[in-house]
Amino acid sequence: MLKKGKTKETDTEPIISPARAVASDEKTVIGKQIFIEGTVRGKEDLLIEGAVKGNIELTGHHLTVGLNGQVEADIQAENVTIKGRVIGNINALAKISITKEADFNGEIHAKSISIEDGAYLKAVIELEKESQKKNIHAIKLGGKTASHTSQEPASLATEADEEK
Amino acid sequence: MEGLELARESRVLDIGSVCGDNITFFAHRVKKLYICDMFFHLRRDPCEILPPNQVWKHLDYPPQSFNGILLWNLVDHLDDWEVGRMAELCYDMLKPGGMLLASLTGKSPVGTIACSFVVKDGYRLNINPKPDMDLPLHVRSNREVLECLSLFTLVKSFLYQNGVREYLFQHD
Repeated sequence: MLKKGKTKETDTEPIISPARAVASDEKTVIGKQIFIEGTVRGKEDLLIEGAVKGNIELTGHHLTVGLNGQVEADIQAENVTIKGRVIGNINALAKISITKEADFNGEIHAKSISIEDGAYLKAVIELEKESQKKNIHAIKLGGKTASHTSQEPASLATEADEEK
Repeated sequence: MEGLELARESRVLDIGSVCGDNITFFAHRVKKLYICDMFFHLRRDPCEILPPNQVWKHLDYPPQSFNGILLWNLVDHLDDWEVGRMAELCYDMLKPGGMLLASLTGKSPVGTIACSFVVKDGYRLNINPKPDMDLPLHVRSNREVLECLSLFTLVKSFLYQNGVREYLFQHD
């Protein structure tokens, strides 16, 4: 039958080395005593309880900045949850959740957002609008016009507004 | 409230206490929503031995940046001098024709407890008690409110059944 046993550690490629990142259930944890400066790139979920400065790229995955986490970085991920302190710009393809303990300073671009009362924010929030999504979909289907339109992204919203 | 549902390219600044429902409500309706929780700074900065007037340094946005500014009930918790300073800053930050929204509890029954306002669908304004918001309350009459914010032109005012007053001002 299928082997469901644990895979050997040697089979998995550590994302962050030599820092003490712990992989469990396809989530990597950057512990409280770890400080990373540079770019963190990965293809699994990440929980930061330590400090990270630089860039974080987790395409298609979930980044959580824990209660003890201190992040000063530009972040790109599918979903982002902030419980700790973050300074930087966040681009989430799906949702950003900010809990009441969070301290965030920066820009947010996301499809949707959830913020608990009591969080501290000095932020700029820009959510993806339905009209933008429709236009992007239309461009993808349009083929020939896609490259032309992509050179002028600013006009997308305007065209949608005119339609309305 | 409808007056603040501006063009889709609009930029709105919310300087009330952070409220998830309000942020979600406005973020879906404007191009960019700016958040700067002045209630937080009013409570915290005195502990950091900052002079009272330094609290406004957090509103460090360029002139004529916004189409709308949401004050919520901030005016209720500032003395006249601070309201004047805030009004000047808001006047500078608003674009000509921009809107300023203020909601005051004042002498209303709910005014005796600290609270925040939450916008629900259908533009319904709900009151959310905030007992931990230990800021002084400055009760003002309508005339005093208009005097404090005399830099702006009053477009609309509304008195709710519970005594809450809502004012919509416009930058000339």
